Amino acid sequence: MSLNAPLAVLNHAQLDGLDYAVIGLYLAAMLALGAVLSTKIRAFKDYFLAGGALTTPLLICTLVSSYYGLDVTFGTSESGFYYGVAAWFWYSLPYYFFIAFAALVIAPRLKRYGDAMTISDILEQHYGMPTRVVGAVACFVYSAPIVSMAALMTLMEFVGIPTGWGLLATIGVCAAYTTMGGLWADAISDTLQFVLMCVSLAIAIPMAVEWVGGWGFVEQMSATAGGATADHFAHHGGLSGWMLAAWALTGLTVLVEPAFYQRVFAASDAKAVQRALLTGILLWASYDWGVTLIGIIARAAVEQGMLPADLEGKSALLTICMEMLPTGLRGLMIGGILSAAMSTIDSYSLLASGNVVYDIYRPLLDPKASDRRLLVLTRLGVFSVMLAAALISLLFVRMRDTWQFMASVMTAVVLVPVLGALFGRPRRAAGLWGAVGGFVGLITFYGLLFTLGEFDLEEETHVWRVGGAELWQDFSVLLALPVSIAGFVAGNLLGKEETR
Amino acid sequence: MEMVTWASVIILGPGSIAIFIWFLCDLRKIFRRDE
Repeated sequence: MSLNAPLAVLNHAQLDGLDYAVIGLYLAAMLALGAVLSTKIRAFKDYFLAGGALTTPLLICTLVSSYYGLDVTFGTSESGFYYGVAAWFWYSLPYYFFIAFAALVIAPRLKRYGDAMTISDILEQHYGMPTRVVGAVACFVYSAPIVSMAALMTLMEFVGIPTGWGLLATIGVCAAYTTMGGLWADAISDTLQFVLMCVSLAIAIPMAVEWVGGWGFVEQMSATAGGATADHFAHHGGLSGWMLAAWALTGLTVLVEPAFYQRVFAASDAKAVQRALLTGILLWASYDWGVTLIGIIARAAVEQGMLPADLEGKSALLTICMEMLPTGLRGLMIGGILSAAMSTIDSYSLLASGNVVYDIYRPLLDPKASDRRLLVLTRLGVFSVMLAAALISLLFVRMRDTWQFMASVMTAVVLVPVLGALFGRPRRAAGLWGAVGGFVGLITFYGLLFTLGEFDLEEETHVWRVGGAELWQDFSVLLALPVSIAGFVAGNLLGKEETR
Repeated sequence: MEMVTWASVIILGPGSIAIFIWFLCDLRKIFRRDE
């Protein structure tokens, strides 16, 4: 099904005046915030890194809300709907280990890069300009908020808001406060968005359990031996080991997550980031559990005939919330979901704009660009990125595949060179060979998959059956990473120039 | 499962509000630093 094809608009999904008032109040508060914070911006570092002054609570709010957008909210509940608690154990849980590793091992190592502002700065310091540019392009592909825009359109269609106007209003507000206040506005608006998304979910969880008739659904779903939901409460969800490994490995993106690096460089001190990430794990784990459970409850409701049998997993969370919440609370929930989207769109548009202006334009085209010029261009870039992402999102068909491709590019290209730089002293050629190797490996895999494989209608993904093996689209990182590692090792052995 | 769910509700509800209050207390420090 097309990502942007209109979903069936349910009558009960319509919002009323009070719901719109709650959403309008929230959007107005965001605008006022941007206007106030614009007075704090004097230089590019103030704009892009909030002057390096973010404290622990601010970092918790901005990290938690930025990293969790609609892709996670809808995607995790979708996986809960189809596969049960396996979505939490094998998709979400590995992320927390990678986040803990990033907090305890990577964050302290980043202190040695005093003036760095982005991942590309680290790449250039070790491997030179070409690797910087390749890394910046991968970061841009990953950061452009295409999936969030597509999910936002789905949300608008679902609640019956005209997509064009709704999107224009959201992008307009988001772009206005981010353009005015940069990371300050982004981070402080994230605090409001953080509370809204967490509290609305905290309210929705017990209401959903009550709505489905209490905890009896667990036994009912597990009791149907051989049925589609029999493994919903088994940690593996009935999935193959390879698939579970592929899910778990998506967590590797955390180790090269541009928002994480930006906030480490923007933190008032290294301990603040560590505290924020470790506290964030508790919040992320709770949020993931909540949306997974609501996905499972939606599935239970389908089994019990309370929801239509053709309900799609990606609509599970929205359907159940619209079905059970009273007016006012529905507005709060939509505000919470909108917050999850906006906190991601503003953060990643700022990052993507920084990638183009600071990481590519400045070193390649205008090395003597003044601070003021960088500031103006990055501000213009924020709005352009949002607009472009909204347009590009119309071209993609499926949300999961789009996200998978973007995350695969980032991991395959940047992970090995960055970890090599942080934990070793590789030669300069290693970085470029590792990055290019990962990219070539990924493109080769996708090329073979789409030409020799076929679309599996039941699993809704491309599968390439070769010999007795099945290679799924989900395995892209699993297969591209070894090529990146091989390129890195070859560059390190054959390269002549030592790293700086 | 019920216990984990209630723990999640407490972390997401009162927990996130507590962090927000912590942030508000901190905000004064951030702005004072600028003056």
